[in-house]
Amino acid sequence: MTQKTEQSRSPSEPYSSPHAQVPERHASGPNTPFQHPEPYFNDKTSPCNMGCPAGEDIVEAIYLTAEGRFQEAWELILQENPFPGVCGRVCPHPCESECNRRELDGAICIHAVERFLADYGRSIPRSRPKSRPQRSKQVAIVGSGPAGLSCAYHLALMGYGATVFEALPKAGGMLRVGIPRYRLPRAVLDQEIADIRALGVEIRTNTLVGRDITLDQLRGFDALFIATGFHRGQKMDVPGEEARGVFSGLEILKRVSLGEKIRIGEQVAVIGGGNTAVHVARCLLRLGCRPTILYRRSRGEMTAIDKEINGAQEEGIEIICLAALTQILVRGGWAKGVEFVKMRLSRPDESGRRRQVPKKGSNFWLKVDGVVSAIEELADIEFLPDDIKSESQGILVERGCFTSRKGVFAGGDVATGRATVAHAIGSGNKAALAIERYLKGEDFFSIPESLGTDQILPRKADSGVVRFNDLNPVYFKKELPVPLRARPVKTRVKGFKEVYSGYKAEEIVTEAQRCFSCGVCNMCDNCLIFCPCIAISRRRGKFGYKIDVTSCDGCGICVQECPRDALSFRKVP
Amino acid sequence: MRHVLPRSQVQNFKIPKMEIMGSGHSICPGCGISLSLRYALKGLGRKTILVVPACCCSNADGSLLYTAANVPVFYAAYGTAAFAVSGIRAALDFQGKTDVQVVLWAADSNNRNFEFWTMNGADRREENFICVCCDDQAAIKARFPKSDFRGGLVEIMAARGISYAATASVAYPDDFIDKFHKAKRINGTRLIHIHLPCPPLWKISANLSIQMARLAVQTRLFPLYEVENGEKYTVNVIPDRGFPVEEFLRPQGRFQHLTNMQTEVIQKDVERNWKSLLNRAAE
Repeated sequence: MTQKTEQSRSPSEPYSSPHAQVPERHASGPNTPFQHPEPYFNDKTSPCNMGCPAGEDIVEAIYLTAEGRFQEAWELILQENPFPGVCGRVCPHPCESECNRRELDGAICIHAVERFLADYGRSIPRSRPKSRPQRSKQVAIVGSGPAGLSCAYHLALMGYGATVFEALPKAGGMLRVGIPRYRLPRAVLDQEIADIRALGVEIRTNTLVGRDITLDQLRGFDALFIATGFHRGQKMDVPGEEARGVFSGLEILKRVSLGEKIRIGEQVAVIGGGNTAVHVARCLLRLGCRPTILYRRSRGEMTAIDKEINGAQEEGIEIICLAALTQILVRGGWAKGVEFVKMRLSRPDESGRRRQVPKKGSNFWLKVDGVVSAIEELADIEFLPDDIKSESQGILVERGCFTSRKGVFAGGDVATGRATVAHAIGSGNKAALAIERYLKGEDFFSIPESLGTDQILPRKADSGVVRFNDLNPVYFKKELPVPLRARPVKTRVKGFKEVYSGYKAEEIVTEAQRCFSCGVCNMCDNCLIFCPCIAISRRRGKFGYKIDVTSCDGCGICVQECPRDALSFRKVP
Repeated sequence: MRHVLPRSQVQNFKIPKMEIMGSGHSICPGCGISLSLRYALKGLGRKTILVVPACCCSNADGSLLYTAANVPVFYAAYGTAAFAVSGIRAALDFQGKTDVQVVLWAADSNNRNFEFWTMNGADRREENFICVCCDDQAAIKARFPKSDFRGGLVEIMAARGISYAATASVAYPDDFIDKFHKAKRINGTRLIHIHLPCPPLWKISANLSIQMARLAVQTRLFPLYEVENGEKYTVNVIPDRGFPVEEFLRPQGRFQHLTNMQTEVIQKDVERNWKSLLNRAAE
């Protein structure tokens, strides 16, 4: 009987039924000659995967974590991102802002899962990712920040030699000198950089390209990747800026990170509203100063991560918004006070943003012993020759990483503009893909524009992103996310120990089990339970289900009742 | 990465994996009959004989000499199923096969009216069988269905004091199977009243049938409860929050004509029924 029905569906040999004239709406059951749309399992892209600038396969890693397969999950993250420990701590996790669970009871704490997996990975005997056979081509990388190192990591995995040039005495770029230790313990960073070194990547520290070595001397390499980042502080353009006691925010962070001494008074004004300003203030607090953050715009427009701003306020750092610096008072060559003018928000302009207008006569003075300028950083690209086109914002690139000189690529902040560590890692991944293609001798235009995706490994998933409306919310109950645990303020301001503590394995498994697994089947059995035709069955000993299309009557209950939109309908040709 | 079977399944329903019913029946797409038969057999096991009067269910186990149910099926004429059940039961008891369950499986609510009196008679004779009524609400007066939403069947039989009477819905498979499992272990006449989505009759698209069945429970139009010996009431599913009946009525083509006032009357009726059911359960 089954054979007969199969024949009836074969397009080459149409099944002639005496009931062929029955109108289509009566068609049902396996014996029908009429064709209906048929369901099939079709994994789609989850919003977290789409939101990750580094291209991690988050939904899969969370699934493995929920299963308790921590090592596999950690290795999966390492396929795209050499810095899970760093990202679990400092990434502003755009994945979580995309998470569909936000609409129900709060996003999955993906950063907590990532951080746990990285900590777990450090605690077990490591199995290094297998690299492909060695090739003779060599790539030079300028800058050992997240972009440069992730590019070097992937090139090394592909079998190419990579040499990284770093101006500072230690590798890590902004991760080392821009992010304080209370947010990112150095042991985590050192371990992850050591893992990259272990793949055969050479990192030459204390080598400033342009001073110790010229760009032309790097011509011996087959390709060049520039990821120098934003390391130059900007001038504030106010009188008194040249006085002693006025520092740039990056300089303070660099000195604190490298363990150098800073001579700065007790009362310090930190000018700016970005992460640098908040970091500087919290570092100075830990050094015994009393910092105050002063920002020109409103609190909502501060570009720093919310968690960090809240942390600073908890620690008792005052944040004065809508206050613009007008001048620095200098006495005996030292900055002794700062004058501000209060700003007010005007009506929204054409772009919809409210501009700040100074209030007349609202000037006020603060008595300070030091001033830190932590306004936007700039790219330091004076070492570049003329044929690599650049502007004040950074290097001009095409298709994500190609500069105007052949064989020279750029990535990270210096090419993509100000962004986060995850963006920098994604940019490094992308550059590694492009450099591999270039080294294989493929033409610029043969490189598909789809290289815009950051992932190194291709995935078997439909590119359609699953949103909350596509899910079946009936099957999800409210469960609150794992809480963030910070150390008490009293003890944490006394030193540079990490503010947020880690997580236990059970907590993380519970957290991972909250995941909707949007668009990706996790064998919840719903389709099998609700199939009226018993056409869906488990694959023996394997993951997933199979659909017997000869038994299916196309009712669509499986597609409707799938909690995670992992099934789709297709028309039978 | 998902190449090995998951260790911890994130399941919404805990139901037995054993599959007695096979594919190949010939019911309409989206109908709940085959699902309810499948769940019932999961609860009852292989030692079951089905007695099916002329109704939609006659299609549910396949056609000609083949059966999708994979258990013996006896087709009875209109209005004679309860007699057939009595006969089969007597024969089985005579052979000493007391562990075999005989199930009267009647679908659509026209049949409910026809089989009702024969079932009453069987109950009077204290026959030992399970009576299943798959109710697709076909007898509901489409003009103004207020009175018909009252779960009459279970109440009448409970008033007669039968050993077990319960309602079940295909949208709650775990509860459904539990009830059959429980009924199997009780002697005497047992009744299970199943709420059955019927896409052509309700004028909904086939894929929404489970969702509509679920909404019937969530709006409390069809509460899931059981009565033991006509006395002990238990409400099995208490919806987290009561949806307005509107959510169940509006998507259905058959209720498009209802005015707001009429839905309000239905809503009040449903709330009164629900309250009295909770009271009886609390006693």
